[in-house]
Amino acid sequence: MERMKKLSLILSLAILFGSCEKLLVIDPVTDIPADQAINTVQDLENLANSMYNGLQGGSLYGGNFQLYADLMAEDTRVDESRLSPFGTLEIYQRATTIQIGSLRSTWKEAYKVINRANNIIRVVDENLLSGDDFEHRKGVLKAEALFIRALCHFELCRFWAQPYDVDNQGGNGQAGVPYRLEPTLSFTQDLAIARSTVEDVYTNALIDLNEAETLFAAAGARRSTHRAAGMATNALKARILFSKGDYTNASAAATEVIASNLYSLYPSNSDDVALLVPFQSTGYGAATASIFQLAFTTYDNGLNESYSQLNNLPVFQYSAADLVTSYAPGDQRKTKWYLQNPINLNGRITKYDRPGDVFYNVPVFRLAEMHLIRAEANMSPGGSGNTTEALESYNAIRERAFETNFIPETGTNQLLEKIRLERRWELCFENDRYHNLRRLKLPVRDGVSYNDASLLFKIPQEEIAGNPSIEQNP
Amino acid sequence: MSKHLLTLLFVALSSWVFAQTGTIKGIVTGDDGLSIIGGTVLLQGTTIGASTDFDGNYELKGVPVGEQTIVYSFIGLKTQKNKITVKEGESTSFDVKLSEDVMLLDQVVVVGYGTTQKRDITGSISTVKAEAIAQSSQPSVDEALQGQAAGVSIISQNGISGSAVKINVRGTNSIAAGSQPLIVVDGIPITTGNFDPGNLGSSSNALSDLNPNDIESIEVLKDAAATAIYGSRGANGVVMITTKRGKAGKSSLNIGYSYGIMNETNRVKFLDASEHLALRNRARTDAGLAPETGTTGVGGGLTRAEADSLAAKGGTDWIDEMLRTGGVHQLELSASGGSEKVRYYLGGAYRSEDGFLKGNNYDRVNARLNLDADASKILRVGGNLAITYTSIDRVRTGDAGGLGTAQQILPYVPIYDADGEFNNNISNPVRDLALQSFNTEIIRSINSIYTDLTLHKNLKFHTDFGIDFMNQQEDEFNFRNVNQTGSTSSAWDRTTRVINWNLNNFLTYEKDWDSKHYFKIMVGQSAQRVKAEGFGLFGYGFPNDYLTSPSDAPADNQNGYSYETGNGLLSFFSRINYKLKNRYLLGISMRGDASSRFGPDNKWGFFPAFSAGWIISDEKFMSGSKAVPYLKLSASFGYTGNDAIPDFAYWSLYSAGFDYADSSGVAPIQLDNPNLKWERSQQLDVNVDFAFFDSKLFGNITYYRKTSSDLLLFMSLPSSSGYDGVWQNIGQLENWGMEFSLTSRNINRKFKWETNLNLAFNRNKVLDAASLPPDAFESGQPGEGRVIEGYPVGQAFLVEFAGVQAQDGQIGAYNLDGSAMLDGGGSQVMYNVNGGTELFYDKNGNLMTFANPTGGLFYEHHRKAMGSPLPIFYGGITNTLSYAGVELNFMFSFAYGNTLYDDAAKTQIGSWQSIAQREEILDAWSPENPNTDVPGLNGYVPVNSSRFLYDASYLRLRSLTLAYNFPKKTLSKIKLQKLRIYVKGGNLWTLTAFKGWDPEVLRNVDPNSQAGNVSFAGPYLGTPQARTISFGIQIGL
Repeated sequence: MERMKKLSLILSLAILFGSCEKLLVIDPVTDIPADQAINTVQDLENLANSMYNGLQGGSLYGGNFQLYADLMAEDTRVDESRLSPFGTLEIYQRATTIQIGSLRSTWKEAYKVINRANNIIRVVDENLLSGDDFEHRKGVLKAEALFIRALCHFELCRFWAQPYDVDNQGGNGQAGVPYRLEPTLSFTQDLAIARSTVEDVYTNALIDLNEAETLFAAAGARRSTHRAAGMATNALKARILFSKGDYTNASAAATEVIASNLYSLYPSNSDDVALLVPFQSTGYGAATASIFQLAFTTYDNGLNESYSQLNNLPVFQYSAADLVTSYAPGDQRKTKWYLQNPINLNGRITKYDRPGDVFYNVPVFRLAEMHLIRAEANMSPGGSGNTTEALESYNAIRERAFETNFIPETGTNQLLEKIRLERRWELCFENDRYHNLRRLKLPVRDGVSYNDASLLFKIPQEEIAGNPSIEQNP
Repeated sequence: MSKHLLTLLFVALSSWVFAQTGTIKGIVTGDDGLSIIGGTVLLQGTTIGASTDFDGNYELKGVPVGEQTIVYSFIGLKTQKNKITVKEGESTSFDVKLSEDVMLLDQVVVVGYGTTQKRDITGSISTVKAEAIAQSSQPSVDEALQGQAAGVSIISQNGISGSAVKINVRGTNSIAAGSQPLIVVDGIPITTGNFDPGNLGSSSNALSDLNPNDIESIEVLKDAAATAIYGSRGANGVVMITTKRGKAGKSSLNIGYSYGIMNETNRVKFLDASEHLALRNRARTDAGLAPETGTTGVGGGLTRAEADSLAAKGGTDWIDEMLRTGGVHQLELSASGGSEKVRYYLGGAYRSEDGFLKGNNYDRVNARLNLDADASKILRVGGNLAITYTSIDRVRTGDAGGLGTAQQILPYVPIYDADGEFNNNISNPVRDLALQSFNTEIIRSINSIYTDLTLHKNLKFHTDFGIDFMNQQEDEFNFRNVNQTGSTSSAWDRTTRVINWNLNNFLTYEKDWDSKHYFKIMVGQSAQRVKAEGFGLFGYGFPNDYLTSPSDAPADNQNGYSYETGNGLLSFFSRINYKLKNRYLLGISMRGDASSRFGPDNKWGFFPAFSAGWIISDEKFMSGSKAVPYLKLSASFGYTGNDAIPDFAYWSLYSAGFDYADSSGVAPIQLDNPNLKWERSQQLDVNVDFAFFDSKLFGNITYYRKTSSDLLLFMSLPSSSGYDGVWQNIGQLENWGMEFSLTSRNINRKFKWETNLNLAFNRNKVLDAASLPPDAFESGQPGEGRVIEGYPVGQAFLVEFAGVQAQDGQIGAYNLDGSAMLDGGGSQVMYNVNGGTELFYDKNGNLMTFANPTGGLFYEHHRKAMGSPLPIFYGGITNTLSYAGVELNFMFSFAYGNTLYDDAAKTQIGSWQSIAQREEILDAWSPENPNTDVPGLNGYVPVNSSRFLYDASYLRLRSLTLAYNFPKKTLSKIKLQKLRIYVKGGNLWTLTAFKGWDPEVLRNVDPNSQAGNVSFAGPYLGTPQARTISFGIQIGL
């Protein structure tokens, strides 16, 4: 009987033990459940950091934007054997498909960053956190999110859509990219939004930037070495306004940056080379010439893969003969940014070279661009016509480029042409030439017209598959 | 309730103690008159029994007075029940002759949570016995199943011991979730899969830790009636492995030793140095140019002149440098025996192998103790303790290096440079072999304890608790290349630990009303919890060449990772079996499962199944027929599930690791789906079991139809939402087919010859891929498997190759709609095509070239489903012959109608400037050889097309054993029970048209994953299987 009792005890224990419902609720260990992820201001800061992490990745500013711009334009000679099929080869041949891996990464990464930004904006707008720290920081965090949202949409639009027709202000109805204003919280939301028009993309971006500017100003955040801040917002505004041909306002935005006197074309340390400083700043050192740079603390800078000799055979082995030889004699940029091959005079690009284990930051906005925008905007038709400012900027760039033997320009004869040439010489390999040609309605490489449909990247497969409202490029 | 039980128990006990008893004795013989040794004589319904001795004599004591039913049984013979009257204190004599149970209908078959007799089964279960498993030369248990069970497809990834094996029962049942069956060892669903985070070009297999010699039988449960008892995990079939147990009576001790040699099954022939250089010249002459000058670069950093002189010395056979003749020693020990009270099985094995890939070694030690003890008349307890230690020296292969790299290197490139150091101009696999080491140590232990409690004459309670513990330690070290500046040493240390515990409780009530009615009901409950954890540490740039441990590297050069995951399962189940007049069978089962993997809105799933059977041959109109001694018709229908979805797929998650400027970053990575649940499978099965001609020919035909729905698919979301997609249950696919198994006892006299055939036809079709395009499932190049509605999972999606342009000429251009492209004047636009250019069919069947695709886009517009990843039929045929102690057993396994996409061929037949070339290149187009399918040597661009989709049908002599069993007379002189010597071979001969390394190959992906389901038929630089010949001896004491 005792034994029977013991046995039935074992029996019941066995069954009880086995029915433990705790078995069924297992929490993830290495990831955070979403409802526990953003509970404090520190969590929100972490989310903000992830936006920059995305921007500095190889798919965006860490390599692909610059790479695509130079594959499409004529600043460099491309070594076709270094191009990969289902990748850079098709981009170069203007025959992209929905399958190109790097384009899919760029599109997806950019929108992931936008989604992170939207999540931050939502937390701030809906006051989901509380406390003094939150009140103190929320303005700046939301402003950073707005800045990045505008930046990402703008860059995507420049590659995936027809350029803004500067002669048709307010009427650019061609398809742009979907402008996302809401974070994705559940897959049951209606996520299939259509492409906004290019006009709307620019308008929304400027709205975002204006709000960001106000928030930054209220928090007194004018300048940051490696994050968005008031001056960076002005710089982006200048770039966007310039890109859409709103020259008066573009010049005003650029002037704000120049007149702030926070930046200089010359380094504070006289041992540094002015022309190389923006590309050789490390850590979060204040590179006085960079308004917004992405700080790299480990090697994840894909620019070296494309441009520098460090990997034996980069994609862009030489700059185009006409670019290298067109520099005026005495222009230090020719010696600092190129290594001339004495035999055939093609310059190898050294702008992004780095020695061994050093990790350089990538400048996204720098003072030189502001000068160039002001100068060209003033002299362009529809611009302010302020030649004094234009010459001031133009000469500032040239003085830095020529160092010795510098003769300042005083006349306005053909100044616009000269400024445009200066832009090409200064901003080469920095994701500008291709977009600039399209703004000016000039043919890109091989005589292809600026608005040729073959230039438009195909919208990636995952977007087409998941979004029935989206319209593919021809 | 307990009082009632107590009373019953008391009565039972007291009747045993106080009743009057007698004895029964006699001789038990078989059909042939020979006495049966070790047969079982049992008083029905009790544990009062005896075994027959050397001469077949038995004596059963303590039998209660009166008419008793005594059961006589022995393996392979029909169980006999006789009614014998026992008198008090007297000994009654009763001799028994047992007839052969040809079809093994009385054999006990392990089903989930219990056993059934084979004749009472109403489902589809294939049984593979120890003898069949022993024929295999492979070290892993699952490989031994190939060709043995109809409808079970076994493909091993390559011939490396311990590498992954893909098991599919009745086709692939899932797209994105796992499609491998549940593996249950002695009632415990064990941990399976690939736990190898390093990339070596070959995956690992957790089943290879089992010792094949310990296995008594393997049952593969295939239909719903059999698998529904495993509910949410039965959809892919269940493989039940039962290990050997001791039996009361004479103990036995067996020792076996074998030694074998191993080689690769096939070596693809490549051009050697002089042939390759001649090819280079031929390319020049084909283009009308003079042969190469000595200063031309020919790749590998060599000039033509240098290459010519190296070729004159014979060049380099890189492939040969990676291969060797391997050897394997195996030592096996097993002891089993016991008494009425305690029975044991002790098994041990040691396997030491040098594989056929240089540097690859595999050592394994197994030890097992299975105990059963009858603690009292009503209580039986027991347990299994098993531990395995494996140490593997792994080498790179496939796309990770080693043989994969060696087969691509130009044949004139030397291994060493002029100074005798390793040649660093190329990625040198011989150098890498010398500088790299990768050792994996695995400790695996699968243990369980159980209790069987007889609460009442017909009511039994069983509980068991098991733990499957696995710990894997990997030490990878890459030594720096002293002759290459900038080269540093690096090391990875990785640990993975998986603990899987399992608890089963079930009550069984079984009652037999004198063979009129038989009723059995089982009700049970089980719980399982798996926890997997791992971490790794990486370091590079060691300060001293002596150091190999990652933490000795400078702190800035260290990196690491950690992960933890797990899942839990809670279940309730029940099964009812009813048998009327011993020939009408009915079965019902039901299971409810709740898993931690299922979303909160769908935690519980219910899986019922129904089955029925009719033993027609027992009907009066057929009874005793010699022509058709056995005929059974059965059918089943039921629902099962597949829960092999990721552990945390339904959660909405944020993840760390998005750091910026030394500050941490966190970002959302996964959207939730609270509705997420198991994949559901519904299956219909119709079986006919038959025997003809006095059981000379018997077998089984089955038809099945299985529809899997709610398939887990990663539904694309617009990527502009910030997410790639979300897991949802929306797909659907079906498998249907027929299985045949046939055994023919051709000759059954002194000379015996038996043939076993099993054959399966399976058709797999994706019914609903949720409108996702084929490329949404891609895992690589276009030929390597996609998911296309209306086609099997893993269908190759390629542009169709049309041939090679014979002469310079012109081809007309077409539009995408099929119409001819017209020029301004209304005539068709023509473009020039040089002789030797590859031609393809566009989507409308018009010709085009890669440079001029119709519509401008080559891959995007013109791919179509081609070939078939799954065979039209597959199976195995085994022949066993024996005469006077000599035994010959050989098994052919085969598959017909499947295709493999060999992406490596794309460059190995054509890119002669940089890659070693296969022999097919010699048939390349040239003006003298215009009619060929190999394009010209000049201007070749590697293009993915059906040209590299090869027929991979094969017939393979999978195993061959020739053995001699010493006769009893000799044995009794040397006091041995058994002495057997044998020679055994594995994968000895293959017939196939496939020109790659081996038609049996898998892509290097985890078989239990989406990549495993979709791209298995697209191997890249595969490694061949192993051919083994071994000699051995087995001694029984």
